[in-house]
Amino acid sequence: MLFFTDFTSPNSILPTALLAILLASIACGMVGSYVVARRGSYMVGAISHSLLGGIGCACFCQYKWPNSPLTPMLGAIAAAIVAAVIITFLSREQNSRQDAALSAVWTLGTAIGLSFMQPIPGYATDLNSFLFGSILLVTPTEIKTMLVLDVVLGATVFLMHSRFLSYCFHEEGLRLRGVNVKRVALVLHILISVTVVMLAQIAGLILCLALLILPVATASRFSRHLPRIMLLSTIICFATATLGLIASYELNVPTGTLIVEIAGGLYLLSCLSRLFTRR
Amino acid sequence: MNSDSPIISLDGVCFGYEQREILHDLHLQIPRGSFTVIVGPNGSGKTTLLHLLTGLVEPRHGTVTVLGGRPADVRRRIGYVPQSLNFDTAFPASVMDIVLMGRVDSHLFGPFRRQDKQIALDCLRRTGLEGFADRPFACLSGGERQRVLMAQALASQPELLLLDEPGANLDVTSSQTIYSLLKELNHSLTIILVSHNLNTVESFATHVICINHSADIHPISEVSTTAFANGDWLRLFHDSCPVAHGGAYSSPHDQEDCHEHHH
Repeated sequence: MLFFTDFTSPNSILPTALLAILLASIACGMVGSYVVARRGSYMVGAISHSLLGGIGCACFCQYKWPNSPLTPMLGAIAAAIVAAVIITFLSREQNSRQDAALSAVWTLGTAIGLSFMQPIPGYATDLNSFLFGSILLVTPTEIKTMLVLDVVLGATVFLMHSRFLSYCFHEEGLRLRGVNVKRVALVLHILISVTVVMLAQIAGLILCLALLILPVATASRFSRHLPRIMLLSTIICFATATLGLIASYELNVPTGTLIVEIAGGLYLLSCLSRLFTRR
Repeated sequence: MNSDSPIISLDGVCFGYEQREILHDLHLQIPRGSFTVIVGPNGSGKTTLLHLLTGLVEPRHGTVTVLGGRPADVRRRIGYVPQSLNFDTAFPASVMDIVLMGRVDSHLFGPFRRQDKQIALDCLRRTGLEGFADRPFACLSGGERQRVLMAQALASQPELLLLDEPGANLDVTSSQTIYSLLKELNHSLTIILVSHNLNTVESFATHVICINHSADIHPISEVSTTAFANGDWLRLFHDSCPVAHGGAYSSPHDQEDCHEHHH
């Protein structure tokens, strides 16, 4: 098979792509579980689309000043953190509706990104790779950044798991314990943003929502304990993304869309299997 | 603090959301060690009163004193069990995870200590849930879930336990189990609960707060036993209760709203 032949060849980009999938899957398992537990999928959509603002700004800077240190990934991280802060503060304001705040971040981020990219010659090609992912173009520098992000995510989840769990279950209860709920929400939203940045490398801005939610939703069909769901969804995310990468390489079709189709198919199968076992 | 002094004292308390006034000029003193039941129609301010006592909301006017201080300052000494309907019944956590939430301290970081887990296990035993620690919360019955939430509140080792309709949506047996448990806990805790089912609490309640935007507290001995047995809070008291008066307090703003709707 072409994939395995190329994988072992010198200077192959495939091991780097596989490593990116592994690092993104770890983040997906840890953070996606809180998103599903809190039923916050819509927030992931808003954050992922807002990344385009940061990416567009970075691309524009590199076009105007070729030595600009602002890479698209750094732009995406910056935009994700800004989106997390805005969502946290707007949605916690009294009289403010969270869906309105999310819609504002979603559309504004996309619009700003498009405005920045429009003057760049050939921007449509770049835009396509950001929207639908380009796993084979991940660089070793981006892998290092993802590794650092994974370590930070892991340490934060270890230290704050009880607060996150309590926040997802019953916010008022956490406030009664004297905890600053706004800070807990902000940290969790930043973790979600960072994870979205990593997953966008694989499936793109539009489809990374599916990659964050579907493996966790599938894992939730088989376990009711969050730590087990975290582990299982990491494995599912890694397996589906790897399978998608191999299949897309062999069939010469876009990787991001195929990965999401496999993840979606697996989720539907898990739903059907539960239906049949109940009967 | 003097053990005879009331555990809760409300003095001229008013509370509302925007233009709408929910509670008006409340003056209440709840004795330490009592088992107080709050009764009143829907929308009368029962849950809002509990939120004021926990410090989740602040009064517009007047003072609320709980355990000798401001509710926000003493909230770690208060156990609160909200309505179980407010929870996601499919939430992916074990019973132990839920009970341990009562042991979260006020810091932003920090895992649990071994002592926290010991206390959580003890609370599960007190609520009759020994052996449930590893079971998923989503796989429990309504009555068991309610007891888990009580165990969570007890895990914070409170001096005062507040419960919002702990028997709501439970069958008679589960409801009786919950109330028997509360009766036992009343030996060491002051208990205040919102209930629509007066029959179940009749034998062990010591005081009744009748609320309908304003409120009065009465010892159980002053309550019409026939009305209590029939669960008829409208006829609990003959003269003083704002509910019995049919005297729901209606703020000028409410009246304006009603007129607007009418037109």
